[in-house]
Amino acid sequence: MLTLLAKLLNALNGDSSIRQIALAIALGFLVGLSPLLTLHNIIIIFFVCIIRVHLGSFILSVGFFSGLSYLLSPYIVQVGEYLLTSPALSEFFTALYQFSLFKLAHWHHTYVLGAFVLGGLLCVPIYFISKLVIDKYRVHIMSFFAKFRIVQALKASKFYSLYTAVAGESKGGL
Amino acid sequence: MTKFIRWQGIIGFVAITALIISLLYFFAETLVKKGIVASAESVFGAEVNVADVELDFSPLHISVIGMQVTDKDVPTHNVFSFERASAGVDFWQYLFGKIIIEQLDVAELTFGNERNSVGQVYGDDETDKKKQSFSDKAKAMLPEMDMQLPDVKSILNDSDLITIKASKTLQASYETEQVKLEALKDNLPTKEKLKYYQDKVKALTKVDVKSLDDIAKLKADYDAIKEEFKADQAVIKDAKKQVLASKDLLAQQVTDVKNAPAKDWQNIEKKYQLETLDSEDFIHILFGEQARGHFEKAQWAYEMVAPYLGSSDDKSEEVIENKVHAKGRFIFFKEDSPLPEVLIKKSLLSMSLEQGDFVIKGTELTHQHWFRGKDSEINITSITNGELNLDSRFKFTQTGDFIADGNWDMNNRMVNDATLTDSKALSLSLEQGNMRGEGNFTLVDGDILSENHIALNQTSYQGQGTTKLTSILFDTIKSLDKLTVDVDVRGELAKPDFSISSSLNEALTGAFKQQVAGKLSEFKNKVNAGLNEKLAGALKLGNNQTAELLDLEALLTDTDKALDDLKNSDVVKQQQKKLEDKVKDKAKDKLKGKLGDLFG
Repeated sequence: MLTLLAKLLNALNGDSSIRQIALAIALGFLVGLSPLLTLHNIIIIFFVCIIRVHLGSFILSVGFFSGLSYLLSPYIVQVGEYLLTSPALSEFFTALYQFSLFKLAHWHHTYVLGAFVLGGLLCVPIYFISKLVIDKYRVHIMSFFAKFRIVQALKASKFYSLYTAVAGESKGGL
Repeated sequence: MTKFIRWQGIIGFVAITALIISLLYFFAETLVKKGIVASAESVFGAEVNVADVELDFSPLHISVIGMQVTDKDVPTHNVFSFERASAGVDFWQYLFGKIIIEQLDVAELTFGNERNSVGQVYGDDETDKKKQSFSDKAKAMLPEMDMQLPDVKSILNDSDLITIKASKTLQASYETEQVKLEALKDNLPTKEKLKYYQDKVKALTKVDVKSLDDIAKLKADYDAIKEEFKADQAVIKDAKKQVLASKDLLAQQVTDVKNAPAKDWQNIEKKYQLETLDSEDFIHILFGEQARGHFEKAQWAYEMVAPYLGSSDDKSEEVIENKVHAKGRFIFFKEDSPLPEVLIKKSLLSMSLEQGDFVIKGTELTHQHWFRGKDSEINITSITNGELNLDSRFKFTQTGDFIADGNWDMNNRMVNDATLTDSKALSLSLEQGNMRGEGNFTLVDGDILSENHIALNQTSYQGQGTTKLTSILFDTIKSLDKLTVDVDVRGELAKPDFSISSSLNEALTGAFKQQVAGKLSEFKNKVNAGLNEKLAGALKLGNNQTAELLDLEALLTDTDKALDDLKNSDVVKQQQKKLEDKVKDKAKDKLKGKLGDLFG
């Protein structure tokens, strides 16, 4: 866990592309919101593996948003329930239900569909917000915090040595 | 392209996927076992043991071996256990969110067997401990059978007795009326006064009247006397009215007092349910315990299953509730060959009980029968001890109604050492008997209707009755070679009414009812004697009062009559007549003198 956090900080402070980190966070949000072993999550994880996104950020993002998903589950389920039981969408879902892939993806489950739809809608703004925040962080916050004595004390800690080790390993990498 | 794609990622993905699949493959059995134990422990609230779980993936087939579920009320025993349960699951449908089991087999299912080691109990539900079984209640009732007749002294000291209340009311009325009558007596004309009136009127009769003026004066004197006793007559009239009202009131209250013991007895009979103390109570205690025991088992099974059989509409409400964590649900849409969410197409259970070995076959077991249009069927058979057969069907409708019916029959079944009741007052067990019977039931929307007939032949009983009544009961039962019991159950499933009749009723009618009637009669005499004693005091008061009233009434009548006589006296007329006679005599003498002179 500490290694992952160190990797994230390294990515935020280092040379990793802002877009790679923001995309990792957005995709982590999409995956974290749904139950882990669903068909669409497996496909997203596949793409995360082959597209150059920051893996450490992605894993942390999945962990964080899974916790958030647990807390928001009643609302996620309500969204799924509303969509699947809406008379206006009944024909649309009945047509989709005839495909095995739809059933295999469990999109006829209120939680899975609610999470997928909310994740799909919100991952785009989350991408742009993350990009903006990381950019601001690199310009203002990093240099602002570096001035504090506590940060200097932290630099002398075990965590910082781990951080520098990670930074050394992944210079310019993921 | 390589700027965006890292091809080595594919290797990573494949490696991770392979790792997960391998872990699932090698640890699936352990995970499933832990899952079953955790879920069952949460449902039953006590230790659950599973010896092993076997999984085959193609086709998906799961076997649970050696499962034991501790009875949380009796941790030394299991609620149930079985040797092996195996189910073939449709994997494809499972991925779609449905559990379709082609065949479920459960071997050597046993209920209430002893455990090798005491099972742990999770959570301590105090309310469960407080629940008293019907059996306990029945046992507690029997020892009190002889004591059900209440204590005579305490009944007679009860201030709510009508006899006591009526007596007190009569006494209070007596005192009130007494005061009123005493006041009246003081105002009544005395004997001296009456004599005074009589003397006065008598004196008028002796007055010598010589002229019409004298008559007019006499009449005026008489009218003056009449005016005097007119006031007295009004007092007497009022007194008569008061005496009549007092007489009526006291007569009514005396009647109430006289009727009070009968009313009190009726209330005592009702309060202590003395009129229902007959042989049917014993039939309920003896066979009701057994009947309710069987019914409670069926009810328990229904209650265990019922929460999982709710219609999908119920679940939607659950989802909408604002819980901390919601799990969601599958929504199923129309398709060509629809299937229920859970379906066991065929099941076969073998069960070992004290009563013998049973085979339970089930088909189309589900809670959504409308998808396939078939009812669930359960057939229970046993041939190890005579023949027993039960056929039942049930279904849930799309609107959530539950409908079930079935029938059973039994032949040539030997019963040995079956305890009917075991209490301080009576221990009774059926040493042996040959049993046959048949019955049926229907259950619609939580209302049950069931009729059952059981006949026992070649019976022999063992036991002992420690009270007079239970001894008679025991002797009567022991003398019977044949016994029939009819049990009807109807009403709401949660609290049904049991109606139990038996040939034992007729057998007991003579001996037992006579005893009860004798005991009741003795008790009734004691209570009535006590009530009459209380009544006697009140009635004595009442009688005294009545005698006094009668005396007073006679006095008033006499006085009134005397005054009336005086009032209607013809003293004036008498004197008038006397005067007329005198005038006539005078005229006659005068005429005679003149005629003498003329003819003389």
